[in-house]
This record gives sequence, structure tokens and C-alpha cells, in this order.
Amino acid sequence: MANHYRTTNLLHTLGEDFQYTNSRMWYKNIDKLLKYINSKPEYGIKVIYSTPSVYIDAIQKEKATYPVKNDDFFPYADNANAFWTGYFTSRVALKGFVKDFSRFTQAVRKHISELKISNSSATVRGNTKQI
Amino acid sequence: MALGILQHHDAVAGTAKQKVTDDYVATSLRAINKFNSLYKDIKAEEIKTEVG
Repeated sequence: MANHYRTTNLLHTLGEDFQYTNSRMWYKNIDKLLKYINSKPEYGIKVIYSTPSVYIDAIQKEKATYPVKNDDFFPYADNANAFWTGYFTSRVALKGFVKDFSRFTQAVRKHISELKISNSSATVRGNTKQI
Repeated sequence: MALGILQHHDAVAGTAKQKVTDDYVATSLRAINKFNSLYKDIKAEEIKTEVG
């Protein structure tokens, strides 16, 4: 696999839409995979949990050179003849609603955090589960 | 939670079918309405404490 990359450190991301909500189940199984792969020296692979900064540090040490990309990634397509060209402009009312809702949520989150820290609201104390 | 779903790239992008988008909005409105009644009580208590 490393033959197809510029460094011997390879990044394998974890994640998917709506999938990774049960961390106990996922880590239990990923732990097993890491243990199994690392127990097979014939694979010539060492797999670890990592972070973007650890990965960047590792590939910088390998002093790989990269081509410079000057153009952009748009228009995005996830399949042949499936271009997402309308997704910044379509459904403006929904987009406006999301922004309004986000601003409201953010303001309320700050307010309730302050009330929690100062422990001054009986209503907040009485509804911790819902909050 | 409702906001998290709404901000997902398949929701805010507006690329879902109409009935799915309708459900995103309905779910969000249910959450807002439910929360508004609680927030009203929080504000009422706060104002009472401030003003008496």
C-alpha cells in the first residue's frame, strides 16, 4: 500500500455519516483490529490511533515533496453526472432557518452555561436531563 | 441534536428530497418549541431574581 503514497506513514480516517455514535462499541472493535494487525509481523504494518498533528509531524520527518495544486475542487461531483452545483444556493429558506437556529442555540448555550457555572438557576438545576 | 442533524451536509445543502427536508424542519421546530417553554421558565426565574 505504501508504494502508492509519498510517505511510509499512511493516514486512514475513521468516520461516516451518522455511524460513529456508539464509541464504546466502535473502540472495542477497532482495538481488536489494531491488536490483530500489529500481531502479524508478516504484514509489515504498524497501526496506531493518531491525530492530524501527529500525522503531519510524521510525514514532515520523511521530507516528502508534494505537487502544488492551484485549481479548486469545484464543482463537486460524487458520481458520474451527479454534480452538486446547486447546494450553495438552493433552498434558501432552509439555509436561513439553519443559520437563525444556530445563532439562537449558540446564544442560549452560553447563557445556560453561565447559569450552570454560577449555579444560580433552580429551573436549570431541575431540568439538567433535558438541558 | 436536532440542530446537529440540520447542519449535516445532506441537510443544510438542500440536496435531500422534499419530504426528507420537510422532516428536518419539522424535527427542528418540535425541538425549538419544546425548548422554548423551558427557556421561558429559565428567563422568568432570572428576571424575578434580578427585578424581584
